[in-house]
Amino acid sequence: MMINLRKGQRVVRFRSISTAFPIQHWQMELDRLELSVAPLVFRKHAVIVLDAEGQFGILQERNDVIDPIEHESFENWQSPFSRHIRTVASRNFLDLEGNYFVLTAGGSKICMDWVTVHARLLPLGLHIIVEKSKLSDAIQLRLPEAETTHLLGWLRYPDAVDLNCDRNDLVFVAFRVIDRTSNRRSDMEVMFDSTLVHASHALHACHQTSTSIYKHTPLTSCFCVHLYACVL
Amino acid sequence: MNCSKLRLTLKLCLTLSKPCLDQIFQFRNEEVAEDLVEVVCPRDYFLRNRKCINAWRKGRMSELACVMGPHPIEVVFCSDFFWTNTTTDAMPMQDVLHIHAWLHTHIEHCGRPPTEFYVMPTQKTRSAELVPGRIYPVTNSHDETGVVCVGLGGYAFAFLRSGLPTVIFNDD
Repeated sequence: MMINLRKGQRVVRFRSISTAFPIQHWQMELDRLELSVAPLVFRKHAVIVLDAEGQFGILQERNDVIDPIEHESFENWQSPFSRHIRTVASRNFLDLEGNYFVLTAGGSKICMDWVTVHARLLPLGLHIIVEKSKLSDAIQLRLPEAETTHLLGWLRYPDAVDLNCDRNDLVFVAFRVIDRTSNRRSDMEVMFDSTLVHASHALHACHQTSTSIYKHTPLTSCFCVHLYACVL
Repeated sequence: MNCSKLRLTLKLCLTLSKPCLDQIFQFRNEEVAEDLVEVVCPRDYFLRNRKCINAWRKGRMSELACVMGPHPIEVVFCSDFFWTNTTTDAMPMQDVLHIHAWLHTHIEHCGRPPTEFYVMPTQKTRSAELVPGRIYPVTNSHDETGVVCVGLGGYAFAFLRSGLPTVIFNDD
């Protein structure tokens, strides 16, 4: 488990208890322990921010989380529990330790506990800055001519066409360009290889604060796109 | 546009961007023009989700259901879901129903959407509907965490692991 401790943080370790109980009693058991099911991030291409530099990590789907289980080590284990009753769903994102797999920009996968991941999850629609030179030629041709080096876009969900590709290391971004003369609006949906993004530090998570944008991008080089439509 | 005007415009945009993300019922663009009526009734909240698939797809909402849930496109692609080996082209959205029920309860009590998840008393909200075999996080009001899975590995028991280590963010 990767836990980046910073000043002012501490790790509290509870005694881990693995319990088995009849399948029809799971809700009562949670109520008894005053536990509540928390939200689960179970969509592909969810992006989290890994550090203060704005490096991204992308959540990965896991299909191998259930290893051969040592059932007998569970509390309250009963032999009828070992009866196989169904084929389980394959789309898992958490393992039994409560960790997500996160693909980093360097291509390595790390485990992060779900509390940390949820705290660092970037919501769809979050504004991010993208270096203009990282856009493909086809996209750049659609941009109005301006001496800008960065674009302000927003994190988007992949389209159906995007989901057809098997890559799991992409960051999906959308822009809206408004022509100031004709007021014509056009949307662009692009994807970035997270490796490239990491290497060039082209993408920064804004965290919805203006200071982040001021810090990372010269004001005169930031071309205002799409935000007019967003903030109406 | 000269530099000072650009600076002013950018500052204005950035100042307004956060409320835009927070006030999820007031986003406005041509894709959701038909939904511009103000939503005051919690029931409309769910209708709006159904109507605003396009806004959802384009990532113009920041609500929990959007952040935490699956995309409608993925629903079509998921075929190995059900308890048996039968395949289907539709997946019940239990997880979405769970978080929606939680959101619904919060909105009814507080009158506005929540910004983050917290533990409610269990009698306040509807029971979660878990997908068999899928592992879910659990937590309590004391920041203890764990996971729960109904039908772990396809076997006839529910699994609960509680007391996992977690990070507590202190105020200092």
